[in-house]
Amino acid sequence: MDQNGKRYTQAGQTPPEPSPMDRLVLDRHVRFVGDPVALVVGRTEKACERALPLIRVQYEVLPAVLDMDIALDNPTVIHPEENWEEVPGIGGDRMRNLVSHEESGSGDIDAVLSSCDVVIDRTYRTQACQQAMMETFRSYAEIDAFGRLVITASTQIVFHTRRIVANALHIPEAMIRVRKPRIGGGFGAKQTAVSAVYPAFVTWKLKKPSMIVFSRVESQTASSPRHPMELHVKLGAMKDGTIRGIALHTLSDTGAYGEHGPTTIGLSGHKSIPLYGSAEAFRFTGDCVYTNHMSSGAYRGYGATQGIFAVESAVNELADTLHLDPLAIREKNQVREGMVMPAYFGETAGSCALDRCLESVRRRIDWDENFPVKELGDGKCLAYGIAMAMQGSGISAVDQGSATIKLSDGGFFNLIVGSADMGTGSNTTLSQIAAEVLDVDLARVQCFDADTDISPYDSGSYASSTAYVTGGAVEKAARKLREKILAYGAELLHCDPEGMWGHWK
Amino acid sequence: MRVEIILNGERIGREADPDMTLYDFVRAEGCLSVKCGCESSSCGLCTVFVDDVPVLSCSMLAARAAGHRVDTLEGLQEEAGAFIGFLADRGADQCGFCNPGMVMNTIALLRENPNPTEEDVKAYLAGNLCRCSGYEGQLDAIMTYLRTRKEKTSRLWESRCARRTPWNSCPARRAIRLTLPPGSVL
Repeated sequence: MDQNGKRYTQAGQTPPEPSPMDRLVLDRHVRFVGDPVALVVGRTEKACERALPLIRVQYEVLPAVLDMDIALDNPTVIHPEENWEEVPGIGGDRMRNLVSHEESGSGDIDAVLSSCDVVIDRTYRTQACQQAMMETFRSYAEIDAFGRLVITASTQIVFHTRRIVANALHIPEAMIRVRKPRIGGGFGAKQTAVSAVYPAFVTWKLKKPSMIVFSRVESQTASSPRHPMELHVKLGAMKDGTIRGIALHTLSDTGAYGEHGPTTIGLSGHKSIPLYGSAEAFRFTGDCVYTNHMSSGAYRGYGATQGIFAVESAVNELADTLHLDPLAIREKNQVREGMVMPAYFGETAGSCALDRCLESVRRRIDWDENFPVKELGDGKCLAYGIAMAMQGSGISAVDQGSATIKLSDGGFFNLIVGSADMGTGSNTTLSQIAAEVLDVDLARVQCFDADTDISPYDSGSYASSTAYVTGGAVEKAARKLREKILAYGAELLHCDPEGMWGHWK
Repeated sequence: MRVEIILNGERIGREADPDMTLYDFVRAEGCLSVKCGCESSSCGLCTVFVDDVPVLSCSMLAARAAGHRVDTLEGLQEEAGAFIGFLADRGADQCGFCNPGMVMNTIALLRENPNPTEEDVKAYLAGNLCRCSGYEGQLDAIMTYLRTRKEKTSRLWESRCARRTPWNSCPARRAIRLTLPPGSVL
């Protein structure tokens, strides 16, 4: 509870986390309605409920910042504390309520826009959304026979949680074990360690098991919803529909704590603008600000959703202005395989089937026949619209997955991974990969996820990484094991391992 | 106070505070299939049967169920078994957290209306929320189950009639005769 102790972040990201270290387990400065004030520990829920009204809290009420538009340079500073830390390079300035600032561009966007036939200039606002997985946040902690802190949590990120708890409690990571059983959904909500720190603290101090289960109301008000954003798009095009320049400025409300703020804002630009390979110039700027709202977090799409909503809406408005077909405009300007994407860190679109996707959509929904509206009779109609999106399988050069496969004496395989199946079926997918490589029935592969003591390292299940990244590790591990088995078999059968494959079954 | 209920056919009694919910009671008795997703009777996850009627156990006091029959999925495995395979086939189940409540209400639906239309199913299961799916898989699974069951039944009739049983001893005719008032001519 040392107010001057080292702060931590609850965001589940590969370290060094691009999240400000701005939390304490219990802070004397509380920043949103839902910020914990005290930990009440009792043997039963009833005992805790009886204790709550016996506690009186004196608040010195400060002016609140409840609008992201006035957060920057507001006289109310949400994180004035000196022990606030942030990784260098993300452009934060806590005295300005600025968590991060980014700028990127290519070409001369102002010159391009001024030479365009038409410029669509619009501002869009998106709101906070709750992932609302059916299973609320909950964790429990216990001390094991060796004196270590064992946390069982409804989480997507066992390894990140271990580090987060170590940072929060100022104890060594080696003393902590985090495991994940069957859980009831996440969608990104559980890519932040929303609940684990509290039973961890209580159990570490009292050396007794403890648990916390968030109610639905608590899961809606003290959690990690999607970042509300304000997106200012400037889209420049010629009369024939060629899109030549895109400028986007995003203002993101990360709430009371930084967490996933600096990374989600990045995707709002980096996963929307690159969709248009025709653009000669682009500019993307972003300001992520603190407010006295609930701390925002990860939710499928992770910033790309907000950015794509804005850019795609602007493109549809462009199509309307130019009296062009919105699908045709996209077919004309879309990014194609092999193109370099200046707005996606200069990476090349090595794998891109967007053109085939659009063609398939055009055909399957009879776009040419039906756009813009199909009358259904009886006063009803079906309206047609289109938008494109892009997503990668994992965060390039950051996400990591590993797999261990054991062939047991019982003739079946244990597949041990650190990813987190939260209903996504990843355990089944990964088992299928192993089963296919090992050429056995699916029933012979038993998949285990995830336990920091047992599983090999995995950044966790988010960013659409598990099937591709962890799956890639599973394939590699299965191939290695296959070679080992064949080598042993060859020895036992006194034959050449080459050509053993046919005798495998 | 001591609360006694007939839980999945067995008479169970335990000490319960007056404000203990039926949800907490059945879980304390090991019926962990019953889940809780909200505190506002909004989501359907906690569905159990009290005297064969689906109720939201999170919003019912255990004391109110005293002396009554309470069924959870633990005691309905056979009845659930008929169609849950179809759910699995369709990949309808993702995280599974909403599944027990939805299966309970599906059992109740099929008991009440063995031949529902799609609209009937949607209306009956409207109170069972699922955040992982779009409900299409579950709907598809139930309709496929009903279709398959119908095909099996009609194939059974066909195979019996095909054996050219004399009309008087045809089971179909006998069954129909039994439902008509005595003295009816068939």
